[in-house]
Amino acid sequence: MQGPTYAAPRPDAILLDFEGERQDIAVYETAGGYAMARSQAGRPFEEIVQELKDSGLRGRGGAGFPTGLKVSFIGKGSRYLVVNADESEPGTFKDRELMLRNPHALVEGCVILCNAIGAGAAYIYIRGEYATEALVLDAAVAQARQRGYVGATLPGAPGAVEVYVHRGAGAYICGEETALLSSLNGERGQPTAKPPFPAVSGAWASPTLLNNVETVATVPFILAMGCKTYSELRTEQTTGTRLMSLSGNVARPGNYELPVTATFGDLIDGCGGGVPAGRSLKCFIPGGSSAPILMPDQLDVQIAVETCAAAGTMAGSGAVIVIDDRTCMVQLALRVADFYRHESCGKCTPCREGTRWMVELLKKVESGQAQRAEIDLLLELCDRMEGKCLCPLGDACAMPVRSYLQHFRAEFDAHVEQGGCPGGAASPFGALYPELKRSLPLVPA
Amino acid sequence: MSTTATNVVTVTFDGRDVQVPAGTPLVVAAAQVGVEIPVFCYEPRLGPPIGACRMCLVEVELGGRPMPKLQAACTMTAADGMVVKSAATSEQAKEGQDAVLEFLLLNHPLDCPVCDKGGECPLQDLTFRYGPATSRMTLAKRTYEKPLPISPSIVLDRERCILCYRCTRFSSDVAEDGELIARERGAQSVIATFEERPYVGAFSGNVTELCPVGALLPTPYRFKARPWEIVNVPTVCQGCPTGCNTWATVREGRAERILSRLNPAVDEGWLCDRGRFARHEPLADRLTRPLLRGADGLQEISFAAAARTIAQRLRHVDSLHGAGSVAIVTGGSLTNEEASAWGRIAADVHARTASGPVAAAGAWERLDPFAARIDDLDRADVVVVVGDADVTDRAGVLDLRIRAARRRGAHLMIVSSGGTLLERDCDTFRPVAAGTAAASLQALVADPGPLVGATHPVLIVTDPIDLGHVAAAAHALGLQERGGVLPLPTGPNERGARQAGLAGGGDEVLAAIESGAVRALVLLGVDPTADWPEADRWQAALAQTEHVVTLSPFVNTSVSWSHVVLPQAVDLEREGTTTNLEGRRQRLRAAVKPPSGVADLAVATAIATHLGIEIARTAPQESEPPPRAKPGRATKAPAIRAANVTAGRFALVAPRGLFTGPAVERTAALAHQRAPWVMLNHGDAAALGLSEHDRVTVRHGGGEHTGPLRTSRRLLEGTVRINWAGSPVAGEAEVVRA
Amino acid sequence: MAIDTLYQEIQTEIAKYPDRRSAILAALRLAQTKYRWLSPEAFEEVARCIDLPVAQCQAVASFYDMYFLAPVGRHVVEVCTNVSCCLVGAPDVVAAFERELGCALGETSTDGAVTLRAVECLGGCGWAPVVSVDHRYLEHFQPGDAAQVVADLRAAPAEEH
Ligand SMILES: Cc1cc2nc3c(=O)[nH]c(=O)nc-3n(C[C@H](O)[C@H](O)[C@H](O)COP(=O)(O)O)c2cc1C
Ligand code: SF4
Ligand code: FES
Repeated sequence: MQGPTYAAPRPDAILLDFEGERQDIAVYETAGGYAMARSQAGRPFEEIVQELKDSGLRGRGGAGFPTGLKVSFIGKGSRYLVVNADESEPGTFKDRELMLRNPHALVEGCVILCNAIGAGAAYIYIRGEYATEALVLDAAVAQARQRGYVGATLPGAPGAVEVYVHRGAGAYICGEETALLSSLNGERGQPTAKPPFPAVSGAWASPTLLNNVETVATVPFILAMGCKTYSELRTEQTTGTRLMSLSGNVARPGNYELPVTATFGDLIDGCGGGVPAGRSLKCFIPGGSSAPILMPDQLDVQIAVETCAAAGTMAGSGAVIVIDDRTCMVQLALRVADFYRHESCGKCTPCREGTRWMVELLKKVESGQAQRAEIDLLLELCDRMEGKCLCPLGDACAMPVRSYLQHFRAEFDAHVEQGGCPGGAASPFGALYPELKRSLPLVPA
Repeated sequence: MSTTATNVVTVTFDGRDVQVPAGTPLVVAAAQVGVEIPVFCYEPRLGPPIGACRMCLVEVELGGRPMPKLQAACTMTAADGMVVKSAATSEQAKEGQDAVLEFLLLNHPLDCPVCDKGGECPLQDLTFRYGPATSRMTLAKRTYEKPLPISPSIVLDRERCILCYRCTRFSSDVAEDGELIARERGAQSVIATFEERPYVGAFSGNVTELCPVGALLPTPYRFKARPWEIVNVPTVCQGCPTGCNTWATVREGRAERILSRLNPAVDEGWLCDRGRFARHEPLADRLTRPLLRGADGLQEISFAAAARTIAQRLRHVDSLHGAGSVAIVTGGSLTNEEASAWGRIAADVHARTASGPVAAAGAWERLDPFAARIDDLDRADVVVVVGDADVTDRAGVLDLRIRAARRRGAHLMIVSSGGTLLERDCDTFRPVAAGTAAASLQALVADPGPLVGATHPVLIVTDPIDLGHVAAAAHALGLQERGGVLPLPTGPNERGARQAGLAGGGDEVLAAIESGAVRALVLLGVDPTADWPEADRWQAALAQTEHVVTLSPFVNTSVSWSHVVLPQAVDLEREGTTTNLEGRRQRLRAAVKPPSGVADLAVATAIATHLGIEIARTAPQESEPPPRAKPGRATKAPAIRAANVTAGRFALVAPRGLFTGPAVERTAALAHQRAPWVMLNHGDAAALGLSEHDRVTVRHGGGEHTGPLRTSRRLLEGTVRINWAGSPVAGEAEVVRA
Repeated sequence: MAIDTLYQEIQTEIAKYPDRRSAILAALRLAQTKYRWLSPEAFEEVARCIDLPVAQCQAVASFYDMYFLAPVGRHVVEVCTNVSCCLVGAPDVVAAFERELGCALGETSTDGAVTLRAVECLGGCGWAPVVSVDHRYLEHFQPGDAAQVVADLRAAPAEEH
């Protein structure tokens, strides 16, 4: 099926709904690409801000912050655009495919936003593991430079725009915006206190607009189709489409671009074909591993920001992980908590110490050596971490574990009662232990 | 920006209102109404707060709406109408505080009874006050190898560390040496140095005061005292002319530890490692009795006999040979009161005097119209440092003030042959040939660079050059109307000694001795054969002088050439005042008794009495730096002698560093700071086939210096830089593989 | 004098930023490409090229997962063991590599050919399980594929990571 052309884009499928890839700038231009970079270059800041506000676009990085509002906050002085391509929230792989198959959409978004805010340079902070994607982006930038979109002043634009690809080096926390900026500044990637917000003091202490890959790549399309068209597709508080990363125990995993009105059922059963034959859905993670789980009876929840919030979870990064009935929730909790322990930056006390304690406790529960009181202690530990850390990583560890305990307390108790995992070998994580215990727990015994 | 009335906001803490400037951290504002919010990582001298430890969590209501989460009171700033509840009145804040304390104690060894910090430990205090922080951790605590010496002067106990990052922030954001780091990530994070090599940095010891637990402790103080056995005596450091304020911790008549004593105008509460660790020890090495040379060499005599003998000889020489036949020389280690007594004596016996190696480099009066104060750096928009010597070489903590000025936004320009510590992150680096500070000042006048349009520039000259050059440049740059200059004296109280009547320079006195004009030489706490240039000439000069009187804490070369020797008291044994590089008079208090039991001033007074001079006892007075003098006419810069370097040889830069001198040499805890090194330009090193760490020998006029090679891309080609601890040398040198 | 390529490459990176410190990640990566792991000497070289204290280079490097602070094999095989990959069989892939290489996670095969690591989510969950070989992703990886990969790597010369 031929993808939409940019002249008349469909609001429900704009970023990835085409065959093959558009790494070649000629292909992208033929599809109408860079038209907005040219035509919007001289457009006043206020107009673009208004357009983005009216479109209802919300950030796709996780927090769902209204993009137009964020752009409007940008402080005075020499400014930068920073693109968050750190994509490290477990289950998320949409930005990667976007950058691989449609890199120019991102570059064009950078050029448009830089010209809008008067920034001389955009830095795309891409996670270190995405080596191939970094090269694809480098090539795309080089092509855009040849064509005069990058490194030259477009007619009407306030100045030339440079786009740099900055490669990370393996640290999930660098997806958090202030940690990303620390890392970009050449420091350990630790978050900093807000305020000051990046909009006031970000990259190199200058006002900085920081947005997710998908957010930035969506901008040219919104401008092309007009904010009105874009925002027609909407729930109450969320508009447009979202790239949803579907993975786990599902027949057809992959990225799907869905209107925000779609439900998790549409994604998991409709696009993904449901859990593989012979198994049943136990629960699913709706927005990356830090999101509280939803249960099978919540498949009709819409994927929009506020609908997820109403269901007690979060839309997050749009990463849906489907979990079938074989999975031991204690093992899942341990695996998830251990991820956050591994990724805790170590700066603030509750996260550094809490994640470690959480993992130690879960190990004890999983191996059946815990007291029942220690399961309650787990919940108290969640209380003691949540809302007390410098950045949301501590919450990201506590929230899912709390939700597993809420929905599957009996499984935790069973571990204590039976002195080990009742599901045992059948659970997909079963085989990881004791291997994982041997190699991953970096905590000294 | 001025704080106008509109900037003042009202915040309510636990029901108590306080008015503070908008932007005041909540912890600071709360303290003003007696609401205590506990902190660990908050330390405003380290820069903006980081909100890491989360000890200071409070509940905040803004605009009538409670903020969704607890806020860190160190990073959250006051806004009008804010209502803040601390743990004293808020359940939620109390829960936050308990949680953080419990987390902090999870891995803490709780070995307070054997910890030197015990009794002076914020963690212990907070646990005591806000407990019960019972631990429900049933798992193994993190353990580490301990204690780990991170240098000969500091030990690290990683188990006690609460990862507040005060120490690493000091290293990277205040001292800017970047040597003390956090390594690894998350719960595995540890405080460390590169490959566990010693922390070499002139200011490293400050981390032992910043650490809020017993994780970083000064090695020399380990297991030395408990807080209830000690007395802290306020005094002033005499390691260099900055004059940092200190506390001397005394136990049973011994000074066991030196701590900083905040004086915002001088030291901002920092100390350098010389001031903190250097000790004139062991006591057994000290001179304790006066000595008189007789047929059997130097023999002990009484203080009374020594005073009488010295007075007689000075009077005798003066009356026999006339004015200028006596020379009284010091190097800046006297108190103002001692210097003034000796100044009176000098006047009485018509003596030539000197207070430093170079006469013209001590002519401070020429700079009076341009004189800056240390805290002018707080207002500086441009700071220019001229000279091959690093600022730390001459005035420890002044270096930190310059760095602070740059961080605040001042433009820092360095004019030197390169390889100094300060130029790495400066804004403008102007490389000039070694030893050309005077000429560089003239060049600066011709091309003032960032000084154009500067409203409050501060010019600092590190090399001891003729101050006529500095005055001429200051005048031409218009520094009488804006900013000012801060040249750096060579001795801690060189300025005071000069003012007290011991003006002049060693260069003039040396020439006079050589000409035979000087028959009696009094050396007051200076050994010119070690401390000043032309060591060989000085030695010959001592040999030919009929009467040599020396005041010294230790036996040294001058002592061995002396006819009368007086034991000198050192820093912590002296009472009186001292004048720092900006002309500030500060009070020295004797923390301990001099081993001789007799004060130096008493001896000087006794000598004076024998000469018929009455020295009135006056209480030591502190004073601010004097106000600026009216500008005079333009001074003409003295002529400049150009030095040429022979082909194939290197221009030598060997400033005498902070970590030199008798006390430093005797302090084991400073061994790593004075380890010799050789620095060459990257390209020169490659051309010689030398690489980093190779052992290299530098042969120069003063001897040989061997150490591992450091390469620099900033050190000028054709220049070799060494941390030479011997008597000052200049000129050229040969560089070979050791 | 030989051209110092690492120095030149690092200067190219520095030129991209308003502050040279920002090039530290790139500088460390380039040094690791040259020396395979960041030895103390490599750190010192990076520090000189970028003109920062060497301890700062180590402080930064040790924060990130992708720098090797100890020697590694000629190739590095990384198996994603995060949730999505585990749900579809990553533990079996780990086991297969351990068998083929005769070494455990975190170790290097005795012939020095391959270091085996478990890593967190690589962003390939839709095509899980994911294995990254010298930073190239192999997706839909089955335990049975391990033998061929190991054989290829044993035969192949060192890769630049
Ligand atoms: C722990 C943590 C990890 C995050 N990781 C990512 C990420 O990998 N990619 C991303 O775009 N945003 C991530 N975010 C969200 C960013 O902080 C930020 O909100 C977002 O990049 C802003 O862009 P947007 O407004 O376009 O969403 C993360 C946030 C947290 C707290
Ligand atoms: S050593 Fe002390 S100062 Fe440094 S982080 Fe640990 S507790 Fe803080
Ligand atoms: S004092 Fe506020 S977080 Fe440490």
